[in-house]
Amino acid sequence: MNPSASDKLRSAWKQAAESESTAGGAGPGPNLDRQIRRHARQVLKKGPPSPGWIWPASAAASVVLCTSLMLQMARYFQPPTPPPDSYQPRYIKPLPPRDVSVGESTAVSDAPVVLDLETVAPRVDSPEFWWEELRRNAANADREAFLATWHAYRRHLVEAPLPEDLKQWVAQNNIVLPAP
Amino acid sequence: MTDTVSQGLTFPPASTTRTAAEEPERCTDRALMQRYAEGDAAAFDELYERHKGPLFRYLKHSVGIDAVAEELFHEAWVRVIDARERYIASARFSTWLYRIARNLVIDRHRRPRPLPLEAPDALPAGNTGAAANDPDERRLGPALRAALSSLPLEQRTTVLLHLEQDMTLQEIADICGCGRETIKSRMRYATAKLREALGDLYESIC
Repeated sequence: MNPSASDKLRSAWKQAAESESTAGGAGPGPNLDRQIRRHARQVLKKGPPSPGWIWPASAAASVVLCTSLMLQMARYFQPPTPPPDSYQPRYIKPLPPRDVSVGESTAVSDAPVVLDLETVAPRVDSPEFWWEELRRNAANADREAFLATWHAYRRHLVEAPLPEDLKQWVAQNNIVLPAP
Repeated sequence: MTDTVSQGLTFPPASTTRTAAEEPERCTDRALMQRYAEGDAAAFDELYERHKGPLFRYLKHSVGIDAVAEELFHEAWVRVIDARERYIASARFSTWLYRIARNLVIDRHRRPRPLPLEAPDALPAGNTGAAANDPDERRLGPALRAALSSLPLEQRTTVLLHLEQDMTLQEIADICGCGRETIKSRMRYATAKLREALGDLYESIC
C-alpha cells in the first residue's frame, strides 16, 4: 500500500460524484434549491429570529415567579407565631346542661337513663315511685330504660312485686326479667 | 508527513482542527456567513452553492434514500439560516455544517418511525466521467459507493467526511463529538471492510 492509495480512492469517489452530478442524482432538486434560497431571503426580510425585548422580559418574569415561590415556601416552613396578648378566643355559646332529673322525660334521648338518687332519695323506698318510672319507660317503649329502672327498683325494694299492668307489658314485649 | 490509518486512507498533516484563518481556500466561508448574517443574501447563495453538492452526497450516502436525504438537507440549511447570528467562527464552517448534518442523520436513525419501505436508491453505474481512463478506476467509484453503504453508520460517516471534505481525524472527531483515537479506530475498521468488499479492485489500484 502506498500513500497514493488514499488519493486514488478519493479520486474515484470524486469522479463517481461527478458522474452522479451529470446524471442529476448528486444534488438537491431545483425545487429544493429554490425553497432553501427563498427561505434564506425571507428570514432576512423578517429581521432577527427573536425580538431583543423577549429575553429581558422573560428573565424579569422568571425573577418574579422565583421570588414569589421562595416567599411562599419560607412562609410554609416558618414556625407558627404565638397569638398577641390581646388575642381573645372566639366566644362559643355553651350548650344548656342536660336535665336528667327524674321528672324529665328521656324518651327521645339515646343517652341511658340516670337517676339522680340524691334528688329522689326520699322517694326510692316507695314502690309507687318505681312503678311510675317503669310505666313511663313502658309508655315510651324504651326497653333499655325499663330494664335499668327495674334493676334499680330491685336493689331498693327486693320483695316488691310489679303491678299487673307492668307485668302484662313485660309479657307482651317478651322481656325476661332476671330473678331477684 | 501524512497521518495514515491502517495503510489505507491518508489524512492531511494537521493534527488539530484547522481554523478559518488556516484554510486559504475556505477562509471566505466565515466571511460569507458573517455577510449573510448582516443581511447579504447573495453571500448565502455563494455559501450554499459551495457546499450543497458535498453535503447532499454525504446525506444521501448516510441514509441511502434520496427523499430522506432531501428532507435532512433542507433541515440542515434551515438550521444554518436560523443560526446565522449565533454562528461563531471558531472552526471551519464545514465542520459546523457537517456537525448539524450528522446530528440530523443520527436523529433520523433513532426515530421510531421506520424509513420508507423502499430499496435504497439505485446507484448510477458505469459512466464515471471522461477523466478516468483506467478501467479499474472507472469501476472503483460505483463499487466504492456500494461498499460504503454496507458500513455501519459511524464508520460510514467517518469515511464520507474524509472523502468528501478531506477532513483531518481531529476535524471528524469534532463533528462526531468523540476523540481523535476513536475516529482513527473507526477509520481502520472501515478501511479493512472496504478493502474486503472491493477485493481485487482495491488491490489493483492501491
